[in-house]
Amino acid sequence: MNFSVIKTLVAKDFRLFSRNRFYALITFIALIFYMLIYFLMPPSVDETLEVGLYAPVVPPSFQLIHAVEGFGFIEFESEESLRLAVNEGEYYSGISLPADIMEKFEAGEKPQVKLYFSAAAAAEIKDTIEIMIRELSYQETGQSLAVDVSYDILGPDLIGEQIPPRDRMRLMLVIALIVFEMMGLASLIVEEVEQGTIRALLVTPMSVRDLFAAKLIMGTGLAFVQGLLFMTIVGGLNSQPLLVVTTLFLGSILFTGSGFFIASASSDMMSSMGWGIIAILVYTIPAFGIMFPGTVTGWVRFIPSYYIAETIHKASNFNSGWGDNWSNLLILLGFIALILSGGIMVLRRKFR
Amino acid sequence: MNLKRILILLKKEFTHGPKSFIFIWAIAAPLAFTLVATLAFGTLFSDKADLGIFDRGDSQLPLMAQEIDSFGTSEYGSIEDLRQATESGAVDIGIVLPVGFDEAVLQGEMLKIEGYIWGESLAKHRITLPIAIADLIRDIAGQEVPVEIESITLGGETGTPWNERLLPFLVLMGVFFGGLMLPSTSLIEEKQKKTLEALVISPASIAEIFIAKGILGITLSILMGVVILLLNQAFGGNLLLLIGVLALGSVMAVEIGLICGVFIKDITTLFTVWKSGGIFLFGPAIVYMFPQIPEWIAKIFPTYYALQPVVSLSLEGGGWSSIAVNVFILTGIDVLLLIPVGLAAKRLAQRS
Amino acid sequence: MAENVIVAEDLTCQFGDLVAVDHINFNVTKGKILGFLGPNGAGKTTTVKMLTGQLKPKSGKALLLGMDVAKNIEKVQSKIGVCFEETNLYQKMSALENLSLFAKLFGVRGFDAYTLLKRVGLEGREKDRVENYSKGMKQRLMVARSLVSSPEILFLDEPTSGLDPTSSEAIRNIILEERQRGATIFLTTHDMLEADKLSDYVAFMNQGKIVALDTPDNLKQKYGKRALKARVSNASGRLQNREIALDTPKTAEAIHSLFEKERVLTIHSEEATLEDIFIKITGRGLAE
Repeated sequence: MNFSVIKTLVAKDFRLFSRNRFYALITFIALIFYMLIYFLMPPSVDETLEVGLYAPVVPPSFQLIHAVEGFGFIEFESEESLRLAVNEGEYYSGISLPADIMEKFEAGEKPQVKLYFSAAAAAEIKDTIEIMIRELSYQETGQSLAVDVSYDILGPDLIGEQIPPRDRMRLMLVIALIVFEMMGLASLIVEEVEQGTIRALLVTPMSVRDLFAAKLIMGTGLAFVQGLLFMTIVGGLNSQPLLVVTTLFLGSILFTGSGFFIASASSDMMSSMGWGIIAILVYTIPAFGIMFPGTVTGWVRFIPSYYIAETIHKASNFNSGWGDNWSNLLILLGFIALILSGGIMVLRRKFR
Repeated sequence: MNLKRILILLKKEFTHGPKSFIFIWAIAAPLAFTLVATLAFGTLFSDKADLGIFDRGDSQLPLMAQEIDSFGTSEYGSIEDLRQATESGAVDIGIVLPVGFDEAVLQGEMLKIEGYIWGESLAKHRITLPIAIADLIRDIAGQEVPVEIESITLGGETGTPWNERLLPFLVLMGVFFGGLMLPSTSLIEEKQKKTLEALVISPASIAEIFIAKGILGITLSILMGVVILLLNQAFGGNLLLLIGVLALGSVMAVEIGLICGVFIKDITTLFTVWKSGGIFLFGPAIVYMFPQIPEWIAKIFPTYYALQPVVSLSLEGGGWSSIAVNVFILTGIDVLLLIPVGLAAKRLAQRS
Repeated sequence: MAENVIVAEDLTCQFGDLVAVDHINFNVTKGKILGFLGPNGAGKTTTVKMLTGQLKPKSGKALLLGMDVAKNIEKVQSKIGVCFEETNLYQKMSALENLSLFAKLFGVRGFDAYTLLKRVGLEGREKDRVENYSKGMKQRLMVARSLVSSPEILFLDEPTSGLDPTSSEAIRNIILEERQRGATIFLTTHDMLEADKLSDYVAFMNQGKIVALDTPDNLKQKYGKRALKARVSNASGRLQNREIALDTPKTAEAIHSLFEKERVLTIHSEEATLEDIFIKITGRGLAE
């Protein structure tokens, strides 16, 4: 391998990439845009359902629930001030208990409870509050349930330390950022084949190996640098930085190899974009599944980017280290070897 | 204008079109976005907890739970499935109902049941779900609710659910992806490959060429608009009027597409213009997504007059009277756009 | 004895059932120009591809500077320059950038792109992007690129195809300059005038085979027909053409008779063109 030739080719590819309006613009805009999305999203999770309460008398069961994490009553001096607060959207819901609630319970009568909901309150909040009032009333009147549920907590218990939506989203954003370069690289290669410049290169002392090395460096470098920049700015390297950086790097190589496949399957720029979009959609599925738990099932492990998403998620959000993730990295390396060698093989045939 | 020639050109567009990746994009992308966005936004901004149930016996509790909208309910066939679902976050809480659960509850027997909590579930869901489960058990036990509840909704307009807020965006995308992209990319491709020159010196006029390309774009556009409304179950009561409005919107999309196809020289520039200029097309849809943005801002964008009638007919139960003015404005825009289309045709004829 | 710089031994290329190049043999000595003539589809470009290592022959050998192309591809490619039939420049790069790139790939030290661009008539346009060049300018740049490494062997595939006379002449002059420098040139063309003007040897290729290979003069001698062409005016003043074959026993008598019986307005000799010879040998024209 001739390093001087490789350096020349990488410089040439970078120049062409920056002169491709579409990819240069998208790369720059995407980076800024994704960072903006991250910082605009809420930095914390509101685990508590806050409900306004006007209660001249607060029944004991209500007081008990007030102490439980996840639920909070905000007390108001008058029903009118409660109404106002809900009307103005300060709270989605408000409960107004009658002054004689305890007397009514003791007399076996049904006290009338008013629930106020703002127009913006989702239907599930309305139902939840109503169910809660009923249940608290049952308890208040001594109608206990002869059912005892014992719960096991599965997975790390994050109560009070929930992962903010933006940190879940961060994974999706970084993968979307680096996977897009796959399409950029593929279209660069396709453009060279379309314009015939690859033939011009192939009659110089440059070897095919040099050519692939340059493309690999270009593709991986571009993707990796963007991913690294993004994760640095959005705090994605605050936990297990070396592991995250390594995974990003390996992910960049994986997507570069996929770019070779896309280039070999494409006959022109448009088809390279078409195949590229399909590949991007597939590769972002695992990150999507992490963002929205439960939306994807076991088959997602067959998608190579699963091991990137899973590792980065565990490392940056759970401080999970090398020991917990070595198997993911190993499998990822296997996928890289397969995809990279396959991509080089099919693309080589296209050049010839 | 020769109808036979138009049909010949149209046949060429149809037979060539389906192989074009843009054609696939124009179908696949809006559909993918519909599914993804509905799921994503539906989940992301929803406050719904999810309950999983494995019933060893034949309890009515799962069915009763499924009828409640304030939380989601899924039934599983085994404890392992339930555990896995809970561990992966598909459900917040999972409970296992023993055999003879309902009978035991009716008889007031003391029951112990297993439950699982997803470690990442929010505190409020860990409160509200058990309360809801207790409420359902009380229903089975036939206990009388010891309270009367009056629910009052305060404030003006009710909040619009996210899937409805997204619909205008999806409809615009469906109509414009096909209507704009297909004629523009087709024209650019023909210019680049010089097949347009060959067409122009044939008896086919530029107008006939434009009409053929336009018909394909309009057909796809209307089809995608209808499909997206179908997927979102948002047809409203006036199907013919709706299709008519979609057709007028498609005409606008096609006219813009033809203009772009003439003045833009290559596909990458087209995508760049599409990406950076998309705000002018989707501006009104963004206003619909965020109701706090005043509606008059949406009226600045020409696409508003295509979008508002669709939204009125499909979501708001409107009729001709609620859309007449905007339909006339839309028709006017379509007619006015014929001027730049004509100029574009003239320019194309001169260049060829 | 002059060194054989380009040698084709039983070179064959097949695409499926189509035999594109059928067991051809030839050699080119150092400092000579071989014109490879033939109609479209004759196998000229395929031959060039095999000689330059872009295509592997089905059988036979291609040797450049004594090296087997298939086995020493990198070494061979460091000694040659190729100007392709189709323009394949980096459109978004300037002429300067295109040339500098290839100079670096060839490992040329102290490469002076400006001088080379001046030589091909692109002075003042060095920094313009290729996408803004005319067809003639692009072709000149293609030729310039093939000269970046001052190659020992130049492969020029239809270098003046579709160019105006000025650009064509400029490129022909460069070809002759290169020959003077000592380069060996393999020129494919279906412009018989160009081949006639430039080539030391001409090979006719038809349907994958070499049907003739010799100097232009020898080919004309062997296959051509020399004639005298005269324009005469008859009694009524109408103009007519007359042709008298030269080099025949009756030539002198025919000329005498012409001048005696007719009023000769103009007379000139004409030799067979390469196209005429090609048609004679193959039964088809070069432009078919």
